[in-house]
Amino acid sequence: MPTPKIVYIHFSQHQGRPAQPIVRVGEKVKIGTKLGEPDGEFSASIHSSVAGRIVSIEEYPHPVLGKDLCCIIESSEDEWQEDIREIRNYENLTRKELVEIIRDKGIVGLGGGMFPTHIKISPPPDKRMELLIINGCESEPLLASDYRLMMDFPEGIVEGAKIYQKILGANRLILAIQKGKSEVKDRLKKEGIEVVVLKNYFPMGAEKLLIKTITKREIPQNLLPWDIGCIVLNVATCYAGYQAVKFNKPLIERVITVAGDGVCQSKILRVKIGTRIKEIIDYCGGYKERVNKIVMGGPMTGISQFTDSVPIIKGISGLIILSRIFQASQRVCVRCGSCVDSCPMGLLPVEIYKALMAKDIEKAKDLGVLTCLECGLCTYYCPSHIPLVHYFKLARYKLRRIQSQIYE
Amino acid sequence: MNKVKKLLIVSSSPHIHSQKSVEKAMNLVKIALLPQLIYSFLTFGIRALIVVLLSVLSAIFFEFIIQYILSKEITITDGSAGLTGLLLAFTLPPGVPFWIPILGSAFSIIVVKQLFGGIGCNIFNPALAGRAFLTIFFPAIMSTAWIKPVLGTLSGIDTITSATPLTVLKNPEVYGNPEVILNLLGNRKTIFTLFLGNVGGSIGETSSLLILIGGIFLLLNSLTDYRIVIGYTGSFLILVFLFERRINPLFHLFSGGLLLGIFFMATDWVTSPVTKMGRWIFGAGCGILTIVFRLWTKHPEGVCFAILLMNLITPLIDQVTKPRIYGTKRSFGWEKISLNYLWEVPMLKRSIFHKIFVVLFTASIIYHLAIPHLVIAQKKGEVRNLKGVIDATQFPPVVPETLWLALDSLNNLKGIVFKSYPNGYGGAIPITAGVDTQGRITGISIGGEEEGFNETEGLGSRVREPSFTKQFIGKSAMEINLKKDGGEIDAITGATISSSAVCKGIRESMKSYAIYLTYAEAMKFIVFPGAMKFFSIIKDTLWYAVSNYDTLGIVFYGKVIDGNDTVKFIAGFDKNEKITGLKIIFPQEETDIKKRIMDKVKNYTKIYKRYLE
Repeated sequence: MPTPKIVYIHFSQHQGRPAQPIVRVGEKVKIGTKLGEPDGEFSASIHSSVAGRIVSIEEYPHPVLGKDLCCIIESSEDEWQEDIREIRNYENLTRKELVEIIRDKGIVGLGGGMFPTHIKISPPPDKRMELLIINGCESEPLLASDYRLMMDFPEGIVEGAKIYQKILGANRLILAIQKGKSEVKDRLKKEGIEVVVLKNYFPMGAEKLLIKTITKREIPQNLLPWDIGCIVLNVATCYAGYQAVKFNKPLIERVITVAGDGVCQSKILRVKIGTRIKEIIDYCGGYKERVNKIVMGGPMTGISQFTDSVPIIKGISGLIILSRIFQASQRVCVRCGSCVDSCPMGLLPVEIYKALMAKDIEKAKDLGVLTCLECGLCTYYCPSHIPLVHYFKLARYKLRRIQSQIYE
Repeated sequence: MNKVKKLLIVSSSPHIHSQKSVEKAMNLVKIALLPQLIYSFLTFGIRALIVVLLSVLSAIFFEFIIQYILSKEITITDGSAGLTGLLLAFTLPPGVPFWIPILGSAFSIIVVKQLFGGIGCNIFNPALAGRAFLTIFFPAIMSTAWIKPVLGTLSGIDTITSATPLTVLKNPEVYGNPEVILNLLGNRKTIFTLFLGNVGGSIGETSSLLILIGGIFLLLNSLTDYRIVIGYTGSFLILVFLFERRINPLFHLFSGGLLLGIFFMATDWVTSPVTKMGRWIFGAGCGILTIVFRLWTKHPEGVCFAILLMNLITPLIDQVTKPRIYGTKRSFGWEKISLNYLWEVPMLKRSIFHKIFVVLFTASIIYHLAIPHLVIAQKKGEVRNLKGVIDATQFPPVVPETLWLALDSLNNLKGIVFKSYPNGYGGAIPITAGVDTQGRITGISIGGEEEGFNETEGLGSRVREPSFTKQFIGKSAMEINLKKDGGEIDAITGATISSSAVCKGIRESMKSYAIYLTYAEAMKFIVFPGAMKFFSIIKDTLWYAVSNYDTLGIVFYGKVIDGNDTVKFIAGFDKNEKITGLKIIFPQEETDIKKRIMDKVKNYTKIYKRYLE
């Protein structure tokens, strides 16, 4: 997709603290110029995706947070930061130097988690890494960004995977894809990587379930994947890591899927971070009919937007434009058990819901509401149209607040 | 370009839905029940349809009224009330008076469903609870109001009125020779008939085939849980194969409300567990209880009560079968379990009313199961009554409720027993009398007020006294008349009309039934149990055995020459050329040429079977 006239680059595009702005209004920037430095360890840096002049730094609609600090850049020329695109020989670099590059180039988890990658690949030294899983399973139905990336750049992904393997010192490297993508499998195998084909069902792309399916082990509660010697990285993160290490290129663009019945053409695009939805949709031929919902992310866990001026941030893998949407009034629970059958985490959504309705948040916690993936399957299947995920999100938010209050 | 309205919809994920809904589910269940409904209409006539309509409409009406009174949201459009009414009607005998479905619906909807908080909060399956309520409080209606299906009936059993196959199975001895009856119930043809549904029974439970089709339709649409279905059927079949030794176990599977219960009652969303493991347990529990009730209580049927009792412990099952949460160890939480789970639903606080209701309702179910079943008790009483007038052990009926053969345990004819209702001074006098093979009275008894006896106290009522009835013993039809009319019976002073009526009733019945005392005539009934009439094909040699609707087989008369003696016998065979019975008429004592006779019978069968074509 061509470079838009104006981009909106948020300083908070990752989990953790927002990046600290290091540029001023009016300053000229080039493609790849660093705009924000990470604020502390649990943060990530932000780079400009265009070359031009900074118009303003102000609050602007944010796809996840509602509104947040944003750097607005008017694009004028096509000038790259000097040190970018030079091919680096990374063979001799130490692990620490490689992690520093990843951190400097603002790589975060591109599957949707937006977890800063440099933290993920720096496990405590006492943990031995057994397995690195590269997640090529599409995180949601309708999306095909990862598929496209694997079709187009298999060598980049595999090389990226090997860089991460080197950093982690993992014994085994596996690339997991879903059934029905045999072409991808052949291409990746040619590059010399172990490929595992998994069943095609949602939410296979979720980290915890992926690990369980491949290793038959579960991550105990309150522990992280590296505690059982596993790391999961998305293919897009791999590719971004490859570009960062090999070409010194920061994370300034990503692949997204544009789909849904409200847009004229469904497309898979490489877009600059900071491009507004509006422009992407215009590029896809515009809106088809009356649009009721714009969802960033996938249809199951994505976040619906209140305006189409929000920009793309690093973790957005899809854009779903819906004109026909499901709306039905909520009825009482009839205990059909669909939610229990569908829950991939073995929760009892019906019991959690009833506990929450009785304002018994402690009981909901006992029933495991914090384990919830928010995958949305329970709500998808509920014949009484109860927005279960909505209640669970609220409860999780409240519980986290209670926890952080205890800390303070 | 500005087709985007100012307002986009913002909501929590997910943004797509499976389009499942409660209404759709309810409608699909109704569709699944439709074939059986049409079939009942065809077999039981318009009356069955009226019962169903009354039940459905009153259920919807009561739901509306109670929600209006309690100022709740009116939810009759979700279709659940209609479904409850439909399922309730399916469990009722087609011949019930019209107030029964209305009362049942009222109990189901108002007490069991709405007073417990409406759909999703009820503990018991409303339709089954409604039926249980009716069964407990109106046992006479609920166990006798059967209608014979017009398409024809189970061959052989239709001689017995007002009974379902399961009732017969429970106490076969009161319906005739137990061996013969069990043989009849358990043969392939009967089971096939049961499977197709050509039998008497509740409106919605007759045709196993149609219920099965509906049930599989639901399973394919994943509206019912296969775990409950398999758990129930599996545990039931295993136990029935282990413990039912009298009859083909398949008989149990296709009779009564079992399949309706498995597919439409046990799988009810609200009252079955939500956990996968819990559903297996729930299904298995239903199967076990059904078998226990069917085999080891005094009641023929157990599906309804089995499911209701399992409903009761559903919250408890859910509690102990919580699935393991990802990343944690399995915890059963036994320590947290209390009896409260029997009536607690987390969202609602149960009041003392609910607790009392649950306890009383459960207690009355258990009490009902503990007391003898009404119809069976009546039948047993009847046999006791018959035994009182003649010394015999089996009483195969010839004319239902009126005439029985009296046989000893070796199937030898001892005589007949009949009932007669001559008009006395105050109405019909119910008389039971036994006659031996010589045509002499062996005993009479006159029924009390419960059978309609209403003669003048102190005068006419004295005909019941032994001093009067004893006079009849040993008398032949000729001698039974008052002395003033040339007979040998002393009239009761001041009650000539009553005395004369008794004599007249007995005398006339004896005359009209005398033919059954001729050995050959009675033997036809013995060698072909279940037949009601015999039409002669070849005079004194060959007869069709006929039920009310259907030709059942052939009865014939034959002989074997054994040296100087001729052994005469009578035998019968059914449409499958299976010998239904064989009786040697002459000589009376046992002969040792049984095998030769059997060969001869087989020859005869080959010859005569063409009459059945």
